[in-house]
Amino acid sequence: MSAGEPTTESRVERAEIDRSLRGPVLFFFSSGIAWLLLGSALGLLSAFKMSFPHLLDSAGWLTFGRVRPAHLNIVIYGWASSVGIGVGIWLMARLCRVALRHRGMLLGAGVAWNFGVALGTAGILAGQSRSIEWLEFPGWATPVLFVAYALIGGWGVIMFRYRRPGHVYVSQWYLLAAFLWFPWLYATANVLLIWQPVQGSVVGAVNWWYGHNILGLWFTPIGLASAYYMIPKVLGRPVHSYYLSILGFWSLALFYSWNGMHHLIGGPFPAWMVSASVVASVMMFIPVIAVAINHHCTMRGHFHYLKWSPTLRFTVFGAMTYTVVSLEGSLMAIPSLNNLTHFTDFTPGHAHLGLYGFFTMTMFGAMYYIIPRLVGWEWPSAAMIRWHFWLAASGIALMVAALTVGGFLQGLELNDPQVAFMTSVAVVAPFRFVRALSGILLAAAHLVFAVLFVRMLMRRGERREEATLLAPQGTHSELPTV
Amino acid sequence: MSDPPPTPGPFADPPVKPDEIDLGKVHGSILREHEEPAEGRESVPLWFVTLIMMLVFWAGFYLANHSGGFRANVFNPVPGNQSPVPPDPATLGRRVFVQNCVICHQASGLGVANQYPPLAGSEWVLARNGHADNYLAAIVIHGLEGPVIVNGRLYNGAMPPWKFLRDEEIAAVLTYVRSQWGNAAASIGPDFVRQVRERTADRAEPWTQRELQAIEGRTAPKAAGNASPAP
Repeated sequence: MSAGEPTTESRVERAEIDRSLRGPVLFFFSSGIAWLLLGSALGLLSAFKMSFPHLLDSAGWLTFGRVRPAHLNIVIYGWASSVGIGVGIWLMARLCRVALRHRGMLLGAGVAWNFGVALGTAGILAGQSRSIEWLEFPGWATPVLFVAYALIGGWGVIMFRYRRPGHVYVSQWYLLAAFLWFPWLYATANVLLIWQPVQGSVVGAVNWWYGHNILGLWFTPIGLASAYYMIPKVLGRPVHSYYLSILGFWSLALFYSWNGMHHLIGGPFPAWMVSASVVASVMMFIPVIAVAINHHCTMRGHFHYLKWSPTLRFTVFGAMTYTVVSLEGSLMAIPSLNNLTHFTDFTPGHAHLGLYGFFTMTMFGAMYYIIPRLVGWEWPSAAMIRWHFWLAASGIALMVAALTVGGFLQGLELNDPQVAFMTSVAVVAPFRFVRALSGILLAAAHLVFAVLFVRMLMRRGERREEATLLAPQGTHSELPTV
Repeated sequence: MSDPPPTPGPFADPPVKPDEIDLGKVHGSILREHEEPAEGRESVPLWFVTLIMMLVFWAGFYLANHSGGFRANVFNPVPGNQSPVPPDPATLGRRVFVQNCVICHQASGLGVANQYPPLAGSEWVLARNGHADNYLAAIVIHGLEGPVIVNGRLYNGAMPPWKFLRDEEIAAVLTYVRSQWGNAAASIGPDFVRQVRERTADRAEPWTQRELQAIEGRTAPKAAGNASPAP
């Protein structure tokens, strides 16, 4: 129970576990951050190409049709998956109370994973993109990723198998599920779309089944596992309700995998397929509200901790965004609203809110907690953490606002048969420029974080034993454990 | 706390002895952190249970009304609108003509002198002077080749069969050409085209004028309702 002070024994155990995880987890974090920088650069370039179509168009590999899928796949497989694996493995080891053995194998799998991402990215830039959204990596790169993943995910499952006896915490359910769901999704999509391709409109159904589930059954459970761990951990109080945790987990598992078809409303599919997806999307209210209540009630009365704790500030930002983006997604699946938002910039706005506002911010929060324990060093600069937070938060807010409003206006124009198509392009153009500017804020945030991370690895600054807080504690006596 | 796990596996640590690690060397971040999180036992709020019930009710209602009976061939989820709206025959006829016929017979319906016969004023189209409605339908279905006299002029070419067009499409295009360029003959319905198609089902090659005129002439029944020719 978290009420009592930790015993010396449990502290030693945690120190052991963290020590065993140091190499592999820091490797996944380092490579993830490197991909994040590259992915940001490519994202910025694609965004500016929307405003200046002739920007850097002299070389084939710099054209929009390659840069944009390269950006997408790098941030999905290079950044988000890498950092998600790092956080997931750390959480799993901590909660199962097992140290990592044979860490060389996990490290090797991590190298292979990065090799696969590099191979796939090179393939896309060389013009071998497969033009299947979220699966653009050429067919000869994906087996590398799959084998690497099988080793990584297997590690998580094996750790769970040999956990110490005791209560299985909600984060463990999500992590175990994610480690099993990802290979199922990735293998199914590759078999049905690449190796034994299905025909006709079924391609679209499989494509969006994968494209949406990779968010909901891979990134979402890792993000939620992290938030479910970090919030009570930093506050030192239990999660509000075990029953809400159960409800949230199983309703996510039940409803999410039906959601992808809502991308195909109006498409050539039997009505029941799309309608079942619309219903499942709206039913996502249940897991989302369950998690929102649970997190909110855990935080209640402790929101002033956000002034101090970097972990909590990023994590709570992510958790709140999870509620917002998920409710927005449910509403976007309702056909009468989908008519307006489909095929507009509204959709990428929603995607960035989910993958960045929720997942990436939650992962930043987790890294602010995990890295000091692995490196044995405190974050060298509170000011840089503040810069990181405010650049990232304002960048994503500006991006989503621009894409949402622009997409909304674009949809109004597109739905009016009296309006020429080019008018809808002209309407959204200024918003696209603002979106590109917001990308600069995000890229700057990532640079700040990367510098901070490198300084951390090199143990720059003075040696301290107390946590790096975002603000002086003043008269408050409670000390967040950050 | 340090009970050994029931199944020894690759991760089965020996029980940790506190003196193995020098606590003085454990970093402060680990020393100061709280115990691993636990879960409270608050109940699910009543308003949320009510909301879930309402959502489940809505889900059943929506699925019942928008699933097209879970049939594989129903694509429109809007209830009460399951049968496709038949296209306006005039629009359909014009579309079929523009896509298939206009290259030879021309938008003017006059054809090309000495090459392609006209449709405007043609006794074949209007079923006059010993020509019947079923000849016209049969020509479109199976094609026509060899010498043919139209409006007193001799043409000697070949028209390919259009049997891949659906009955409604052939009926619509025939109705269309009978109502354009000053033509004013009765419309032809899909049922009549289907009958002609059935009666000539064993025909494999295009007709000749002589063969056509040897078969019994039939008149299309007066079309009822929406297939009336343009004024």
